[in-house]
Amino acid sequence: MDVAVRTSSLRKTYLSRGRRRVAVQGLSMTVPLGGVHGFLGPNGSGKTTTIRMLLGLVRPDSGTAEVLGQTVPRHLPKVVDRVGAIVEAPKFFPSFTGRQNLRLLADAIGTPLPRVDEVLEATHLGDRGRDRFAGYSLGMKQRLAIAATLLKDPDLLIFDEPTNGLDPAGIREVRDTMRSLGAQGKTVLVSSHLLSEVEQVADTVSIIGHGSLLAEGSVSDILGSTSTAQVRVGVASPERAATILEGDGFGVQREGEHLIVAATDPAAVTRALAGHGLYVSELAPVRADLEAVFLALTADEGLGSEADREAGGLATGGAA
Amino acid sequence: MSQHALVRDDRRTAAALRPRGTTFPGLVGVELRRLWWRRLARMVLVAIVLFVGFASFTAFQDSRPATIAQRVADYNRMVADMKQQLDAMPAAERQAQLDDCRKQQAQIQAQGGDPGSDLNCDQINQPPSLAQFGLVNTSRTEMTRSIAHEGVYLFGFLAFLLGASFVAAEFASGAMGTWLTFCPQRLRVAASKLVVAALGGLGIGAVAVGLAALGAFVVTTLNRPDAALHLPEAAATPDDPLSLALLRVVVVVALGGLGGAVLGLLARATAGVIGIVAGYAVLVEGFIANGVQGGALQPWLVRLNIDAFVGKGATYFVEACGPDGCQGAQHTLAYTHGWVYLLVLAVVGVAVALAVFRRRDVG
Repeated sequence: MDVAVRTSSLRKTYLSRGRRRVAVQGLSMTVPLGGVHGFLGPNGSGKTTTIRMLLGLVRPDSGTAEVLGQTVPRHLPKVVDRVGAIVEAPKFFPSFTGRQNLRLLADAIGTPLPRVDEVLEATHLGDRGRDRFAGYSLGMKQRLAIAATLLKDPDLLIFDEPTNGLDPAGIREVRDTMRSLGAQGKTVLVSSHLLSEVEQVADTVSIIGHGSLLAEGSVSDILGSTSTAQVRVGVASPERAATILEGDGFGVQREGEHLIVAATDPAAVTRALAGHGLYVSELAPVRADLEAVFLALTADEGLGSEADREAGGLATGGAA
Repeated sequence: MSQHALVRDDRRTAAALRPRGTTFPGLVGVELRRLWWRRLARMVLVAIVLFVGFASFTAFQDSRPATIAQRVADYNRMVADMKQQLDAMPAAERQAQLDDCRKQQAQIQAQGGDPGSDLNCDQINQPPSLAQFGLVNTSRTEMTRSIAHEGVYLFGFLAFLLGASFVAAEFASGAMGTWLTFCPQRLRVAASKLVVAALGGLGIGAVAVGLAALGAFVVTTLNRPDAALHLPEAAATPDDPLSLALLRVVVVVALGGLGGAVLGLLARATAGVIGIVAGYAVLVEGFIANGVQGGALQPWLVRLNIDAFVGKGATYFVEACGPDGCQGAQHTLAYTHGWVYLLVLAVVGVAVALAVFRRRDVG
């Protein structure tokens, strides 16, 4: 078995105000065993619903899902001890202490009590374990949720938007934790709409939009296959330079005082401009990133637009 | 490995770290601990102590020798007044009253009323006895039974509230989702919660009747019958030993806890459960019980069946209308009807709750 998670034609609809709304639409994706796998898509694209289906919290309308080789939700109990998950915000009993919450979970799965203190210490909550969960900061809540997943010593960890609301230090902590888990040979499935965040830690990604898979593979393959070779050009007369380059068949976009020129050979750009007496002051390759890939993938579907980004649908910042 | 990572590579084997699983009784134990940790559980116990304490204090006040002596004096005065009035009443008028009473008794029975209902016509021209006046030497047994019966609805409601909140709070906080990622067997999880809610009710009931017995013991010990007062002994409730009567109270309170958890699983919010119960109490037990078909539907409502189970039978009135107008006829709901009704209700409730929880999405 070299696959941690596999879904096939997974579909889920919700009844909302008398109308059926499609949350996940025939999703078929594969998460390889080991390493960090990013699960990307704007808000409302079906990431959380998919994760809930993998964890047996939500029942799919049709399609199948496998986790660590077992069909879920039917055979989830066989592998649940190997799966740790944090779905959206960490949710525990607010009036109980962090330690009480972990103790209940540990007892429910037969984990020895000393392990509770171990995971509290590991997540730097040793001295706050006797405080009520309701009084925890968001970062502490996230750490407690990570501590809960560690009660199982899981092979597969599922983090749903784990950095939402965290400060830069918290984001770095979660990011490094994911990297560390991946390096230990565990599989980390992390969903996020923060593309740059995932790009820093993920080995492989699945990109979804409107509940369907748009692209899947290793990060390098995705970037390589989707990006077009572009160079950023600094020149004294950008308007004239653009006219010259377009006349020579280059694709040109204005970006402030710079030009973004589609060109597989940067030397051809300098040659064309020099031939007309214009000399470049700056010439740099434009690095493709997941944001660019995502926008390219969703261009035809109206996803990932500026409006979506403004609405919080897709974000590229947030990395510490 | 990054210095900021929360997780270090653990060199222990997976076998050493991996959970060992837990049995169903183990899961029930975990849920029992969670129930006990809840503040509401302790608040319920405090409420029970306060109620039983108040009921015991009232019983203490009512059975103080000075209070009894005053009531006996009132009784004697009333008997003397009544005798004087009866002596002054013509014999024909007394006979007319007696005939009228017997006629009413016959009418009730003719209209299908309870054959056991008795207007006590033979007593109509006699002063009431001390026992009829409520002046009896209350036994410890009867006082315990009385306190427990008085409190059965309060105890049951508190257990209901605890059971409903115990389950609904998990949905409200989102902890149910976390719990299911550790224990995904839905039926097992739901069953453990229902069992614990019922056990919690059982515990509340046991504490309540235990305190009632303690309160009765203290009251009857402190208020020893005065040698100067010769009161009749209270008639023991026939065919109903105290232990079984108290056991029935405990069972009703346990069913209250179970009912709360069932509705908690269905409504997923404590406020919703309280709304359902308030709606039922007002609309069904308040309006339908008395306003529809002259009260003939009462045997199919919860309250009367609880009364029938706890009191080994319960009476209710149905208004029957004939050519001579409408009259209330007394009926009795049998003990068997009560316990069968409650058993069926509990089984159906549990089955529905389990089926719904098994299928429903958890947020």
